[in-house]
Amino acid sequence: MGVPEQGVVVECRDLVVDYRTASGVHRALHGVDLDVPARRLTVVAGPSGSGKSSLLRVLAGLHRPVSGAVRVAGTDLVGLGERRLRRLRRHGMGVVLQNPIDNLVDALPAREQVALAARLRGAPDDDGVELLALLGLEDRLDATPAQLSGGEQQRVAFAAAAVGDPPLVLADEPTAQLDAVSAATVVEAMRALAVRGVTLVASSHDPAVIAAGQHVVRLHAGRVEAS
Amino acid sequence: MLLARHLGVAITVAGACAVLTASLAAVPLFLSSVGTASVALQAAERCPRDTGATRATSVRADEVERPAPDPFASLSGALGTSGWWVRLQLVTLTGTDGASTQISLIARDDADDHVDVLEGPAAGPGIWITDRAAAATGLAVGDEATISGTTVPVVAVYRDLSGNVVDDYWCSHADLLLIEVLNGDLRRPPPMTLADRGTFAAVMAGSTQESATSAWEAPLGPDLTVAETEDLLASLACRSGSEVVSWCADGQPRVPRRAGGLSREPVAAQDDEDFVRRYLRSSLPFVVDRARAIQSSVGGGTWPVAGFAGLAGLALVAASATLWFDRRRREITLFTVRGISPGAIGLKAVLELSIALLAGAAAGLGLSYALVAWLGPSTVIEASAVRRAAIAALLAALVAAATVAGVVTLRLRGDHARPGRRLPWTLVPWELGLAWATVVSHRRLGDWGIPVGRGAEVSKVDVWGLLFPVLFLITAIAVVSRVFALALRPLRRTSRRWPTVPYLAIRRLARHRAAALGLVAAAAMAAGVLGYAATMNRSLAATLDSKAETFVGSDVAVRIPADRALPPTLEAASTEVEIHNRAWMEVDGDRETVAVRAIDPATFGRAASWDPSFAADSLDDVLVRLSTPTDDGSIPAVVVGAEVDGPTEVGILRPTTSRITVTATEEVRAFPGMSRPRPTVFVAAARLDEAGVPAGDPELWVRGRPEAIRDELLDAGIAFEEVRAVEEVADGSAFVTVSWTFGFLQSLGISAGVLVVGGVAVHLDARRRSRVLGYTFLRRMGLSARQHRRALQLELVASVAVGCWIGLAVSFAASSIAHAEIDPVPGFRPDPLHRPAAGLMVALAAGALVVAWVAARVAQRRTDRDDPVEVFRGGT
Repeated sequence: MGVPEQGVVVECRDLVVDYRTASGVHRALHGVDLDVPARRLTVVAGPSGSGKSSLLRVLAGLHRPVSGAVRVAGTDLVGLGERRLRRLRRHGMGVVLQNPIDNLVDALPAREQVALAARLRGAPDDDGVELLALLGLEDRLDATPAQLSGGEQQRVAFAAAAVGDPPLVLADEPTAQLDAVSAATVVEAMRALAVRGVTLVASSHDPAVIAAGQHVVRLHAGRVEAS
Repeated sequence: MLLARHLGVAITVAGACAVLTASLAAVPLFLSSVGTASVALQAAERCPRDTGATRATSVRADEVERPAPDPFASLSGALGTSGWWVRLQLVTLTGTDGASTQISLIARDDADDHVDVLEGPAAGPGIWITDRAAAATGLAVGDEATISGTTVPVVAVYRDLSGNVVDDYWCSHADLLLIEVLNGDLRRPPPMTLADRGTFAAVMAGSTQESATSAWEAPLGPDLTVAETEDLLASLACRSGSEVVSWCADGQPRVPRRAGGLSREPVAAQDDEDFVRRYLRSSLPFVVDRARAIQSSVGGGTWPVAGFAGLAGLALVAASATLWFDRRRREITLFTVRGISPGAIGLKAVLELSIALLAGAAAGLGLSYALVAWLGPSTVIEASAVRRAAIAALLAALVAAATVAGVVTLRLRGDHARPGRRLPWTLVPWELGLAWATVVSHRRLGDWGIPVGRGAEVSKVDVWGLLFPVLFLITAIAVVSRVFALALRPLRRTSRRWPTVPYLAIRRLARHRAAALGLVAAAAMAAGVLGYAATMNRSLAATLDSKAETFVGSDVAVRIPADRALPPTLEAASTEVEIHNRAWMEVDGDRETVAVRAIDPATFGRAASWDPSFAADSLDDVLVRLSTPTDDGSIPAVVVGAEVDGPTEVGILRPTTSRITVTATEEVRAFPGMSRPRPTVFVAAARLDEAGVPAGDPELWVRGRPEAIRDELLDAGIAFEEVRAVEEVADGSAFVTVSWTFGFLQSLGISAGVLVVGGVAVHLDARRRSRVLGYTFLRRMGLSARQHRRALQLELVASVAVGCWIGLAVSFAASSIAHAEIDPVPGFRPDPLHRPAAGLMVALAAGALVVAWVAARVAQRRTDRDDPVEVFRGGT
């Protein structure tokens, strides 16, 4: 499952997503259409509650839409069984979560974090060291999560997500819990990965991330406002 | 390392696995302990000779000083120290002035250590005579006595051993020592004279008796397990020189191996016929048979209980796996988004918790061993039982591992359930199913009663007797938990208007509802099981004692010569009752065989065993009415076991029939000394005397310890015949099965209680971070440390202590319902008594408060010491 040279990696058509809450069913997305171009940084922007995270959860195969179509690297996610969804998540995409520490395994040094992700994906371990160096972490290879700053943790998470060249890397609010300086290093890391040819989709309301986006999709109240 | 970061989880998993393991591993250990204890108990109930081995032979005079070698020397491990004796019966002892008496003569190793010497001993060989023989012949130490023509010196005078009981050393010669009843008189046997082997040989050589009875005897060794006793039996079978097919093959001992393990059939009766009666004199086959029967009976009760406890342990393992899941949720989410399957994450959980699981299994094995050694009937446990327990522990660890993997996998699948789907099982009122099972078990319990043990039979605890209270407890706790859970939400709303302390406590309970419910249920279950088992054991013992006392009439019933005056202490604690066992009564036009007891109302109350449940009125009132003449001239009477209305004719055969008319003055359910199964009529002796009825057989009923009463009678020189004693009526080994089974239940309750205390510690540790952070914020809002501590105390009291109190209340209710169905001697009054283990229950209720108070205090101290910044950064 390689990265297309050009074209669209993600296609969403008329996507509807519901959540069950204590007060009833809440509709998070109302018929969203979206195309994500290959080898570019796409930013899904919008205020809190606009449906950014819901959209990314659907793209990651972690939540099933009520209706609509989702294709990732040519695979239809809606009709996919759990086993094939897992296979897609393992080999076809990398995911970076909002909280930096949530992206790392306790006690493993940075080198091992990326190596573990590479092994799961069947990629060579050397790729990880190269990626960490690309993201400016060549001096922090043996640092454990507790020894890394928030920005460094998030960059290690991007390295782990991108190792083995998956067709898509998803990042949910990757700078939301970082200060401006750390956030800037993460934005730089995303740019570097995009330049390297990784297809990235990041949700964010951080202006710095939005500014770095090569393709920006604005969501409001579960609908695409602008693309 | 990963596990060390989540020590609380590791301890919880290990603890849960320990519960599961201990439940299963305890059974083989407990049954082994039961087997050992039942062998020891039966041996203690019998003369050592009867459970050990005896080789009896006849010897000539020249063989007395050189008897055959000890045939049991090589079995010294399984048998105690063996001894040899030789004896002659009915020989004549003549004094220096020609006065003579019949005696028995015995030479036995160490006999002089087992008598009370009154005079002497002088140096050199000779005979030891009793004070009775000395009085009859005028002999004293230093005199020359003549036995069957041979002159022998008297070297000592000792206290006569004849009486109503004999000790373990002399019980082989009970036939020479026990007082006999001949034609209604008490008659002492001929005095027993002791001699050394040389003197015995000389007497025998001079007598006309060519041979004397001799025997090698060896008692059963101490602390023998059932398997060791069986091996001993096989060795004895081979030693007998016979080819007993089932116990001795090709000259080698061989215990017949039956179906294996606990389902072995008891020793078949033909084995007993095969060799014991023909070659050995021993009750060993019976002892082994009964020990196996006791094991089997106790096993029938303990396995289902252990199964329930195992299920509870499994539920705890599942809960601890959920705790692991919650603690590792962040990492699990990471692996999930990276496409790792639920099965692989379940396997990771097992690998990560494997050390905790193995440690828990080892701890469970150790806990069960310690509990059985501490609370079990015997500390001696077979190695094979330990092996079986170790296998059970290993299996428990594997089952626990599978449960952990299963729960983690299911939780992961549940987390990814499709939107709109909701698992409906929490809404199902499954308490109704439990209630139905409880009702069924109670109905089955109603058909149950414990039979009186006869022969090798033993009382059996019906599985329903154990399942009913467990189901009752589970149902009640489930209902209470449901109500508790439903009440938390409105309580949480209402608590907004409450003072700070209860408000905070309720908020926290509602916030951690599952943990609070778990603590309530666990505390209730532990206290309930413990309270129920202790109450049932106490009630059963009280019922047995009460029935035995009712049967005897008092603690001891003895027969003494009519002309002997009692010592004042015995006089003050006794009453005389005349027994008429050949009598009839007109009931509904038919003559029904009855027993008549003529009592002395003035003294009856001081000796008779009375329970308020016997009658609506007090015993004093009943006795006053028995003494008061009736208007129609009939004799006032108490009738037990038959319904009579108005004046009723009673005939007493002694030896001709005396007819009297009695009127029942009292409705009683039971009366001391009532016969079984015949109806019994109690009347005042003076009224019978006035009616011209000849006196019946007199019995003296005495209140007090049987040993003390016997000693006092013997010290007063009163020969007596013991008719009945409470301790002999209640057959110990027939009922131990019941008390041991409830004892097992009790020990499970204790271990559950210990684990609840551990659970409280883990619960508090698990919430440490949120508590510290919450406390920090609340302090800024003006909450004092004292208020916070009190809120913690209230929270723990509302869960642990209230759970414990609920369990105790439910156990009281369960035992109130079940005790009536558990009658050790059905059909004999009084009905089963209910004796709540009040001391234990009060201690438990108070203990739960102390645990809550101490735990809250410790938690508050830790909270005060913790640095909120560090806790926040640690993220644990």
